[in-house]
Amino acid sequence: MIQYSVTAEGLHELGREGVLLIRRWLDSTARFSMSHTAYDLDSQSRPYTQVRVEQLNGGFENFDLVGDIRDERGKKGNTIYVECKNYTSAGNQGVLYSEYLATCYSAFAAKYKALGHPPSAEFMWITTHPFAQTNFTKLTEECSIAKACVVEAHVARLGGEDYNAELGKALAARLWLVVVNDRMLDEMIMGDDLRAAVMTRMVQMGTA
Amino acid sequence: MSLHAAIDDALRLADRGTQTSAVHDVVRNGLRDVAPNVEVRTTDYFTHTFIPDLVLSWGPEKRRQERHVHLRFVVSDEAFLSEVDFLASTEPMFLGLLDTAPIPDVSAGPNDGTHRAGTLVTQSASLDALHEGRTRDQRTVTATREVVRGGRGSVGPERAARLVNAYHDSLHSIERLSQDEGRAENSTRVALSLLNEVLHPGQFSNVERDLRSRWIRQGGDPFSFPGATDWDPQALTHEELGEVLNALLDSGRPLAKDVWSRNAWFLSAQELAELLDKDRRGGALNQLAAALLPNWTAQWVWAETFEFPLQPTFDWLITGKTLAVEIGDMRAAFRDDGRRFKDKGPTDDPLPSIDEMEHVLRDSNIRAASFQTAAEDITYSYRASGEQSLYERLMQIFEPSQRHELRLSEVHTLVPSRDDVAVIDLDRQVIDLDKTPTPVSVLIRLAMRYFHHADYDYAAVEEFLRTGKPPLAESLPEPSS
Repeated sequence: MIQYSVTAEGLHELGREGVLLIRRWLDSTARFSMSHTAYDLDSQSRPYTQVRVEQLNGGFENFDLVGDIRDERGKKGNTIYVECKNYTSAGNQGVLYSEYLATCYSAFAAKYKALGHPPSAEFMWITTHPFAQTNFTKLTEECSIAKACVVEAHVARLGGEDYNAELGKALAARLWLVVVNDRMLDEMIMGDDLRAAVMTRMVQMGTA
Repeated sequence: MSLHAAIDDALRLADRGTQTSAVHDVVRNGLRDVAPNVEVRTTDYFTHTFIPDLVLSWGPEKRRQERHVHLRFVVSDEAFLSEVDFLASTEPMFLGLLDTAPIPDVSAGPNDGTHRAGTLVTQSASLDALHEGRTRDQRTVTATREVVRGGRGSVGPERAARLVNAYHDSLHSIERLSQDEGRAENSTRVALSLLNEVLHPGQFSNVERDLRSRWIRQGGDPFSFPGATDWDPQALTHEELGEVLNALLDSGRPLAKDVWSRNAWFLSAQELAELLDKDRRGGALNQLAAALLPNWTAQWVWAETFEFPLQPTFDWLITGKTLAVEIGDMRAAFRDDGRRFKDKGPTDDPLPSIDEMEHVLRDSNIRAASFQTAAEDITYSYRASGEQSLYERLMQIFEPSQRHELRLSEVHTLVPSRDDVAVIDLDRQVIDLDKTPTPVSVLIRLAMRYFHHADYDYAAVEEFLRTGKPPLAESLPEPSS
């Protein structure tokens, strides 16, 4: 069972145990390999910089999880940043998701600016309850990103720069939206024997 | 720099790939340091849910053993325990990178903790404590290596330090075993008790064996070693028992006769020679042989004769995994399996004539004998008949000149005090007991009768066989051929 902890800001965070369950599920697909969580603290009791993304305005935002996307043969690909949410109803997820999209865009654009090409980064929103059901299929499209970036409360994240629709399209192709429930997390995990077999095969393939 | 500090440095690297490689390298070196001879392989996964960061392996190719090492940022909270339960079936090691908070008691898990029984949860600071112990005394590596291979339960830095300190105390007190056996017994008991709590039975027995062999090398009786289980030499493999007996032989301390008989009474002479597995001669081996000689039998003897030694020789020896005794100018080797002696060629010494062997041929135990002529290479065989000794019969058959010419090549004789017949090949100097196990003490006397050229004091030989102590040179008569 997921153990929930609601922060003072009411952001419906999952807490370390819930994040670990999400992580276990992602890792078990063998297409993701998570390496850091926001609950892993360095010797100064701060989250590692690996879970942090820089914004166009020079600020930083932390994600719950960060890791790698892997191809069919287990080879490392893009970095993925994961935001985990716990809800028993749609709640205010629509608002928070809009902020998340603006955050993702700002981070994506900041990295693009530094590198001169689209960064090898992707973003995933994982929630325990669906939201914005009438608009759900559009939540990962460029138009939703564009909308989120012009919301007055989010504009500052762009650091005064104009929204770039081409960059928004590139980001849209790298957005993941996942709804999970307890049963998925508990019962869609390989058992000991199968996991050992997968692990052995991955070692044989040279990917572990 | 401590492992903990090196990991801290590595974790400061911003790039995830570089950070992963750096942390893996640092941890790999740290593990190799406290567990030499354990192969440490890294994967390209970092803190993954079920794929290990590092894979340890050791042992011979056909019996290779592995252990997975999972790195974790946090090993001190309740959420971590669900990770332990998730992977416990593989009996892995979890290593907390920088976490120094107390590790929860993993033994208090589901199914009375049996599910987690093989899992080790430790921290980089704990490996630093093991490293410190190993640096202080290199011999501690036996314990630190086994903690890495088969440690279980929660081993924080304090517990790790207690383990190596107790091991040191035991090592040092065993060094002084001859001065204070009581102290050695107490400190060793404490060390083994601590190690028993944190090691798999297999790894624990490795550590126990190490301390026991140190105990034995200091001349301590294995039966008085404070092991977790009663000492049963018969339960050991031949390899293990060989280590024990070699250590006792090399201890340099005079040992009571019953130490040998209690630890090796069940071994045949051949088994003993094979499990000792190295050539050795005299010294403590003479004491061992004196204690065990009443138990030893053999089915084959091969004798060699040498030049008369300048100093009288009385020694037991093991040569080529065969037990032998050297008395004066004769060496007799004993085996249950005669294949080793099959290829022994004829001796260079001329075979004795009937006249020269009169003292033997008059023996009423002789049942038959074969003779060769030097020139014609013809073999004659004769049997004793009725009450007449073979020698008396030969006297009737052969002229004096023939008795001087004919050479004795083979004798069939009753083994003294037994009904069995021994075939003695004087040409190859081999005694074949026809698959009948015969006391080695009897065989020595038989071999001396046929192959010992010098006329030694047999009382001195008996004394040597009984006590293992070579007689003083001045008490022996001059040998004569």
